Amino acid sequence: MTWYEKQGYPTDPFDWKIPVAMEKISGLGTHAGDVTYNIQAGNMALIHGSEADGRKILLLAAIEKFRGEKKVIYFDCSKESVDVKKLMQKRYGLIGRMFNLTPKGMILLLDNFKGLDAREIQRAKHYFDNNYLHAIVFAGERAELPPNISDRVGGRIIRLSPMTSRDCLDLVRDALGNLKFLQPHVIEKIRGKSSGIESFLKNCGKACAAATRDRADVVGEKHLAAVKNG
Amino acid sequence: MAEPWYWKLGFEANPFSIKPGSISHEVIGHPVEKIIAKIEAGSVQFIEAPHGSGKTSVLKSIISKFGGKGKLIYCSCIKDESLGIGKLLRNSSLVGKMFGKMPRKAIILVDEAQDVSGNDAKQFASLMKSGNLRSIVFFGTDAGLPIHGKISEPLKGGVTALSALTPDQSIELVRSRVGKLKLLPDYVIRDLCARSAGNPRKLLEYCELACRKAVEASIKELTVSNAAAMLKSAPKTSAPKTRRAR
Repeated sequence: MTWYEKQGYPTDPFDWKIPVAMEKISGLGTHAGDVTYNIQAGNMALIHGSEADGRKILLLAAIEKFRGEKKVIYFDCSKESVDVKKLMQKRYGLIGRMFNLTPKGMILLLDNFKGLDAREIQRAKHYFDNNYLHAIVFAGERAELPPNISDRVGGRIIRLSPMTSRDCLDLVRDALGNLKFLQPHVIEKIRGKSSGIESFLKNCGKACAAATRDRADVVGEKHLAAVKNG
Repeated sequence: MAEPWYWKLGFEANPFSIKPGSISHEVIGHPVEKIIAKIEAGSVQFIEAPHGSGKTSVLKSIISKFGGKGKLIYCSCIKDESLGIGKLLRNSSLVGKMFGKMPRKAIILVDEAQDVSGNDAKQFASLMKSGNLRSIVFFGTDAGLPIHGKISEPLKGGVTALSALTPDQSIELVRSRVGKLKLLPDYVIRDLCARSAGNPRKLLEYCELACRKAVEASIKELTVSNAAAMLKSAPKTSAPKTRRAR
């Protein structure tokens, strides 16, 4: 039996859910609206902030919104090198690559764009200017954008702020229904050990699991040993 | 998904798109015909302007006017990388691709030319001498940087600095996008022109932001003061540098 079943929850209350985070983290819903707008309007936009501040949540939410149109390309540039041309041509599969076909009106979401090669970033700009890319959303730090791209982004910057204590309390309250088992001072300690929303929720789950194993009435500081930094 | 502001005003797409030539290839406020005349006369020229001034729009307008005739080649520079001009020229025709033959009297448009490397500049000069190129147009933010003293001698077409939009040209640009939109009166466009220091890309961005916020706030006609309030978060644009006489 899992800890949450023992506590009377049918499913894991800290299961990572984008819509919940969107609703509970202050400003994230508005930011998601801005990302959606800039994509619809065919702009270049930047999500400025760290991964921990919900950057990935916004990109995932955008994928969710536009995925039905089969026109979204998402790439995390920190993981491997990107060939923007190949990414575009993948839409048409083998035929696209054989006949050098480039689709029009695609949406490109580039997470950790810092890892993107200068040539590829200029290629993305070329595709944008020529409408092969309808919109581009970069995620990372503005200072790392080349001047000609930064100028195209202009003021379309979605600035993320770090998760607040209030946001964390709201998330836990929403997950557990109240703050009796996991109390505010412990939540604050978990927040301090977490690098972002996703890790915060995972860490809450770990602390609750440790307390449940211990048959404790509330999560205590000793249960935080199960929570790792990061 | 929420309805974007431009749908509410009857536009199918964002009328203030910053994509060069997205609405029309007509360029407002820049001497495209003069540039084309110099190209046809066979010259090397540099179109100099800060980012967002309409260089790529001018470039796309030139491409559309040549309509595929006249061996027109377009390339864009990337800092510290070679353009591979020889390969680019050979690949511009089927004969070139098959037999490695260089074209004669081709025209090349070089975007982001502030990043042209010294070696590429030398190669351009030699291709002009050999007759493979009859005209080069560089588009960049600084004509002083890219030439590296290697191609400055044949820069007979001179440097054309694209000037900032005047208030009247700003109105013309905005009207070409939205027609007689009541929401955005001429005097507000003049104010936005001043705020954007006559930079077309900034002007379009400010118009988009002001209209978006006005529609969200159910404002029927913008005034200078409420447009200013809506742009409060927008960064201020500094006035363009004084043009150098050449």
